[in-house]
Amino acid sequence: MIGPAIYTVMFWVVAASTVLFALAVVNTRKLLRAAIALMAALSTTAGFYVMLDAQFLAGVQVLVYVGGIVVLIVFAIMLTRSGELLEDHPTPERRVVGAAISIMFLILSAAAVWVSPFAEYSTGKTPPNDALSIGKALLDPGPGGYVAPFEVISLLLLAAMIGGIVIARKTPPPNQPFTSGGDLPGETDVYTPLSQRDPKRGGPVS
Amino acid sequence: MLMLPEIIVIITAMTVLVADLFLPERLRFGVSCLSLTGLAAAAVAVLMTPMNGSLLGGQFGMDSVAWWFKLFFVISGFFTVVLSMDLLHGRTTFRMRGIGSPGEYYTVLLFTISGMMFLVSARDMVLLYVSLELATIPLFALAAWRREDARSGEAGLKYVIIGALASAFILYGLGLLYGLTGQIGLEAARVTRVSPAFWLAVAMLTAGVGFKLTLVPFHLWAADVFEGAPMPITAFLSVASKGTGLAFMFQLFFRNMGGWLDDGSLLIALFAAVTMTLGNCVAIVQTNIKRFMAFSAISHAGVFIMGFLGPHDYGVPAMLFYLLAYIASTFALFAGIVWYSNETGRETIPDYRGMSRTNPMMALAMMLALFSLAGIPPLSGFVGKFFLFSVAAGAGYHWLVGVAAVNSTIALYNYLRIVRQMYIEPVHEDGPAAPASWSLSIATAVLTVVLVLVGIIPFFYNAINGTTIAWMSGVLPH
Repeated sequence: MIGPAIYTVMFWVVAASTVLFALAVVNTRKLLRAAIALMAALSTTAGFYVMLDAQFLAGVQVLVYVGGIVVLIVFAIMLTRSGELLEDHPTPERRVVGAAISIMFLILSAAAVWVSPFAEYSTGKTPPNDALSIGKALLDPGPGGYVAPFEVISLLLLAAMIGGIVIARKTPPPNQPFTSGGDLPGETDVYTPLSQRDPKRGGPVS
Repeated sequence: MLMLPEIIVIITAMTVLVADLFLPERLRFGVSCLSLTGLAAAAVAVLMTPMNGSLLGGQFGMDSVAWWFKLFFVISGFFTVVLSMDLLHGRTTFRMRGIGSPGEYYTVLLFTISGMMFLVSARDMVLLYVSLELATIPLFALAAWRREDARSGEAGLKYVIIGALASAFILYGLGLLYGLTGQIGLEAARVTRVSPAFWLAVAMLTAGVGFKLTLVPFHLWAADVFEGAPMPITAFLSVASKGTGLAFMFQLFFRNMGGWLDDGSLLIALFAAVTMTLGNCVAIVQTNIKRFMAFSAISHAGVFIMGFLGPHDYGVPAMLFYLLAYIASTFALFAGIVWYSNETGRETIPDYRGMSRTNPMMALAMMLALFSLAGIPPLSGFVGKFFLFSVAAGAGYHWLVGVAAVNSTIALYNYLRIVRQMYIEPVHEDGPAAPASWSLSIATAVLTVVLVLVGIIPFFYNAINGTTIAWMSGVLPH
C-alpha cells in the first residue's frame, strides 16, 4: 500500500489533470482534439477508481469508455469529415459572463462541500470488488442487489438505440409518396455495382 | 404481482417491435391495436394491484400515490396512441411527410411509460435516477421523429442538451445526498443534520426538477420542443412529462427531504407565482397553437406545485386530482388540435376560425376542454384548481392565491382567444376540415364526458382523497 503523502500527491495530480483535460474538451475547436482530450479525461477518471481500490471498475472504465466509446466518436468524426466546428466564435461578453458564472458556481459548491460534515466510512472494510461479486450484486434480487436498475438500464439502451436508428435512417427523397413505413428505399438508394459507377460522381453512369 | 403493469407494458413494447417486422404494409395498423390492447391490459392490471407491498428486497414499492400515478401514466399513454394512430398510418387528408415507423414509435413510447411507472415505485436513488432517464431519453427521439422537418430536429437537439443539463444537476444533487448519508435508499438517505452541502443538494435537485416540470426560469426549452415535436408527442409531453416531474418531486421531497419541505415553502410559493404569471403572460402573444400550449403547460406547472405548500395531507390528493382533471382536459383539447392539424395542416390560432359552423361537435368539445383548463365551474379544472388554492390558503399564502386568481383571469382571456376564433369569426376561406376519424371521435367524446363528470360527480375526488389522505403519515417521520 502506498503511503498517505504519496497518495495525496497522486490524488491532486490526477484531479488536476482530469479538470485540465475536461477544459480542453470544451475549449478546443478541432473535434478530433476534443475526442483525444476526452479520452485522456476518461483515463484519469479511471485513475480515481484505482486509488479508491476499485480496480474492476477502473478496468471497465478503460475498456468501455476509453477503448469503446471514444474510438466510436473518433470513427464518427473521421467518417463525417466535420473536423472543424462550424459555430461562430463566442463573443467576448459571452466568454466573460460564462467564465464568471462557472467560477462563481465552483466557489459556491466548493465552499459548501468544504464546510459540510460528510459521514466517514473509513472504519469498515471495503466491499469485495472482484468480477464475481459485482456480477452477483448486479443480478441479485435481494435488498443489496441491483437487478431492477440493471434491467431498467437495459431497456433504456434498447429504447435509445431504436430511437437513434429511426432518426438517423436515410429519409426517402422528397418526391416519393407517403408510406407508413417511412423507410422504403427511394430512387437514390438503388444499388449500383462498382463496374457501372461513374468514376467522377460516384453514381450510376448516365 | 406488484410489477405486473410494468411487465405488461414492456412485453407489449417488445411484441410491437417484433410484430412490426412481420406485418405486411396493409396490416400495419395492427401495431396500433396491439399497443392499445397492451395499455388497456396494463390499466386493468394497475386496477387489480394492491396499494401496498414491496418487491426486490424493498427496492420496488407500491403505495396509494404510486398506484394513482401509474394509472394516470397508462391512461395518458393510451390516449397518446389513439392520437397518433391516424398520423402514423397516413390516414389523414393532410399528408405530413417524414413521420412514420409506427412500430418503433410505439415501442419507444411504451418504454417511456414503463420508465415513468418504475419511477414512482423506486425506493432507492439508483433505480430512481435510472428510471427517470428511461422516462426522458426516449422522449428526445420522439420529439425529433419528424425527420423531414428541421424544427423537429431542432426540438430533439434542444431537448437532448437541456435534458442532459438537468440530469447533471440531479446527479450532482443525488451524489451529495449519498455523500452526506452513505445510503442509497430514499428514506434511509434522509439528512438529519442540515449543512451547506445539503442545501446545495436541494438547490441542484430543485433545478433538475424545475427543468422536468418547466418551472420558470428552467422553462426555456418547452416552447421550441413543443412546437417541433409531432403533435401527439406534444400532447404526451404536456401531460405525462409533467406527471413524471411531479412524481419525481413526490419521491424526492416527500420521501427524502420531507422534513425540510416546510422551510422551503416560501421558495416554492415564489416559483409557483413566477411560473404561472410568466406562462400566462407570454401565452397572450403566441399565435402557433403548439407554442401556445407550451406556455399553457408552463402556467399549469405553477398551479401544480401549489400543492407542495403545507398541510401536506391535503396537498397530495389535491395534486393528484388536478392531474386527473388536467389529463382529461388537455387530451380532449389535443384530440381536437391533432384532428385539425391532420385534416388541414393548419397550426395557428386564427386558423381555427369558424369551426363551430363547420364542425360543431368538435368545436364544442374543444371549448369545454379550454374552459376546464381555464377553471370555469362546474368543469373539472375548476374543482382541481379550487382544491389547490385552498391548500395554499391553508398554508397562509393568501397573496399566492390572489396571484393565482389574477392568473386564472389572464388564462381565461388566452383560452377565449381560441373560442372566439371558433365561434365568432367567419369560416376559414380554404374550406372546412374533413370529419374526424372514428378513433379520434370516440376519444374526444369519452374525454369530454370525463372532464365534465370529474368536476360534477364527487366519486373521483372521494376515491383519490380516501386512498391518499393517509399517505403522508406513512412516509414522513413525525
